[in-house]
Amino acid sequence: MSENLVRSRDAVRQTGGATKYLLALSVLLMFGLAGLFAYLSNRQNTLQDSIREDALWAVYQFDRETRTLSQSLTHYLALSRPSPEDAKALTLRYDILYSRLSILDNGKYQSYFEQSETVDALRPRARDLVLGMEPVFNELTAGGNVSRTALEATAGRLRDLLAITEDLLTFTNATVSAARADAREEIMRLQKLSAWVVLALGISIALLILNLMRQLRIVRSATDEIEATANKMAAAYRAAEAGNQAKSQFMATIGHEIRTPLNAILGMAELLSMGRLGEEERENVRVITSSGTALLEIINEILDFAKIEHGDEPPEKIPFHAPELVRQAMKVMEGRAREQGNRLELVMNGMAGRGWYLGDPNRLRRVLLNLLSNAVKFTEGGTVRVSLSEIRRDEGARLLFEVVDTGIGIAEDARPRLFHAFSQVDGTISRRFGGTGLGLAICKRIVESLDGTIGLDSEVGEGSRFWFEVPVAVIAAPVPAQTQEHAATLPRLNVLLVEDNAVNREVASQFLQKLGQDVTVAVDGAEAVRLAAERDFDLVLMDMQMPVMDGISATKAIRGLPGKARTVPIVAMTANASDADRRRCMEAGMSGFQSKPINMAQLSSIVANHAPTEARNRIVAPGKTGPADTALACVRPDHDRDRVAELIKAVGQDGFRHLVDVFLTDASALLADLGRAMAAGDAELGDRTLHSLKGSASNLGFVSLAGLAESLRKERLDAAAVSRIAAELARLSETRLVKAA
Amino acid sequence: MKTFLAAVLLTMSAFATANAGPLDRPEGAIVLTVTGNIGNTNASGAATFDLAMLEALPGRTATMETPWTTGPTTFEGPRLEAVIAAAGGHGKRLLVKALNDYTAEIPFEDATAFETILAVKMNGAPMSVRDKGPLFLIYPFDKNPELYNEKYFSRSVWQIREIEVVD
Repeated sequence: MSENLVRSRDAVRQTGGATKYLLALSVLLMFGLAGLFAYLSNRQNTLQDSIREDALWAVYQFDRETRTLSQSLTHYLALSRPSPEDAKALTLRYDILYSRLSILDNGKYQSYFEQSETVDALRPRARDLVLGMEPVFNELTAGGNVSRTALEATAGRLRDLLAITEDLLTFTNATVSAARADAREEIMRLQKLSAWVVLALGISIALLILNLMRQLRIVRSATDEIEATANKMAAAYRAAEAGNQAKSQFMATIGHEIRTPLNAILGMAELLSMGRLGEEERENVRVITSSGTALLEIINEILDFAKIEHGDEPPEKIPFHAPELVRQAMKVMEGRAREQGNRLELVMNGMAGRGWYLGDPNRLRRVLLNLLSNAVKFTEGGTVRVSLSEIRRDEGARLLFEVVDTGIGIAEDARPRLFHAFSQVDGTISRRFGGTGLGLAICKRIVESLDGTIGLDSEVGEGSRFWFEVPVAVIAAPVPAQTQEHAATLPRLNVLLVEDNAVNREVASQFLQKLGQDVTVAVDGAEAVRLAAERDFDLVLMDMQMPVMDGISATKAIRGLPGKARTVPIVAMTANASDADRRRCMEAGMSGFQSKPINMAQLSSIVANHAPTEARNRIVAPGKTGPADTALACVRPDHDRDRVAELIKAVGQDGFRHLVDVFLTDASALLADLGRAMAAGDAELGDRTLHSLKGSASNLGFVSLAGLAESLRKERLDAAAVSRIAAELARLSETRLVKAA
Repeated sequence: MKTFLAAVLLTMSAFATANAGPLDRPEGAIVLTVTGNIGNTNASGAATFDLAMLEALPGRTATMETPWTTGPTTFEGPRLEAVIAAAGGHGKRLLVKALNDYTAEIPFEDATAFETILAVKMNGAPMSVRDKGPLFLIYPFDKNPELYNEKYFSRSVWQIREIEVVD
């Protein structure tokens, strides 16, 4: 975390704390204010003011009534002969005064009267005086005779009472005024207090707002900071990534640079070995060749690793036949196993289906080959067993590949390092067995890219068991391969075969004829389009890579023609079988897809599957198969035995020879092309030529030549490369001559 | 309209009272004199009532707290409205006069809007002058607590002698 971010975080925490305190303070002040309000309103409710005023009023009335009674009495005494009405009026005045007396005793006014000692003392005296007069007035009310002396005495008492009531009035007024002032003062005090509380509340809220604003500002700046940091990190990541890419690029370049002279060395060594050499020199050349081959292998592995590091293409999901995949891999290893005196075994467990799955066969093959090659390398005079099992789990099927050897084994402490790049069990291994220590790292990456796992068990001196398992989808066999027995039911079609490679063309053409089809050939896309425009075909078999016009363009052009050409089934034939290629073919308007080299069964099923409805009743007569000459003593280990057998079965021994002739003729033309391409520095022509050579070689089962051509495609074309091709061709031609002889 | 209402009220109170028709002459001591805009008289320009006449009018008995008494006190007496109606009084204001010439002016509505009574008895006993009698204008503080304030306290006249109905 950057310094700025730390600072922002601390600031946010700090202001957060302050906010908490301010909030608490505000709430406290609010409560205080509410309390004050409640107190004030409570005081108001007690009606103290009115009672106070009433008390004063009552005293005033009392005083007034005393005065009135005194005056009435004076008036009464002044009368010479008072009537009973006069007496009644006088007693009424007394009654009224009497009624006021009870007010003085009213409990509610008590607190006011008690506040002043004088008032408190005067009150009972006033009451005594009023009550003292009662007998006189009672007598008067009763109509009795009251002496003048008594009346005059009463008048005297009234004068005393007046003095008292006046004092009472004065003091009550003073008391009430004081109480009123006190009350006002208290109210003022409370109001002032309220004002202070309100002020404090206001300040607290203002601070709160300021604090929040500050917090907001800090948060905003922190956000900017975070964004800047994120950008910096992204840039750093990009830089690191770019560095890694550059490293991989560098490795790829270096690899190519090394491979080119190495190929020259190997080529020259090969040429040397063909010459007349003494035993010693021959041995030296053999060492050069084997060392060079080992070096090439190492470089290839490093390049592969760099490629994986560089970023993978997503794994493919295409149908493959797992047992076939394993058999092929074992076939590749057969030679080397023999050299080491090892026996190869295959075990298959729990293959519920027919062994067809959806997955990435190329990656699986690579991993299996690597494990096999390790097993063969580290075992001498033992057994290498490959077992293939299908495991059904809840989450789906998995394929388990196991390679068990009886070799030297791997110590336990060395095992964890095994799958790390550039790591071998110990330094002596590479001296004794060679290798880069990259193979298993590559395997691990490949298996992980397929969501699988890889691992091993081993016992030193007993052997090792390497295994890997990957999730796969079980599928039905995609196209039931049509066998020759079913050829009888094939419809007879008018097939347009578009293929630039003479050997491929010849092979496919022969196969098709064997299947009873009418074949028209075109050597490139342009010719195919012309032919398709001239007449109708039932099926077009289209090569993808051709000079003049490639398969995609040709397909598009044919689809643009009027008539039957718009709907005629077009099946692509290509050596590249990636998903992307399939997509491109389908987008161009093709109806099917077949990977090369094509065998007879595949061709038969293509014909059966793509025959237009109207052509289905044109059944071909049962075809004659060629003499099944399978005596193939001459076949070298670098030949694909099965392929050769199939070809011979299809076209016969002579047909095969003819094909080889065609191939050799074509190959010498290609060799000339290659020389031209090298002289002119035309990489494209060189690549196309090698591709073509590879195609025809693999079609005839010449796997080593096909492999050589394919591997040379990746390199710069030079004299060494051309000479290696030439040497390989010479060897093939020699073999044929030997055989012919 | 007002006249009509007054007439209706008059008729109602006339039916309500036992003595239908013109106001009877008081037989006992006169405790209340109603003057001013009145329709029914039994003296020269005035309607006079003795206690019996007042007690015969529709009234109300209620217990409540007042500023002038201690503790809950029961008051009993005719409705002010009924008294005014008996005198056939109509106007906007009532001038309520006490024995000591204290006069309070109250709106006519105080008689109609609330069940204001002219209390003749306090705690079941007639009130002497010494007990703020004989008549005490009591607002229904029990029924309408909102009246419990100085405005109505000053209108609560005691020792009532006369009510003058004026416009």
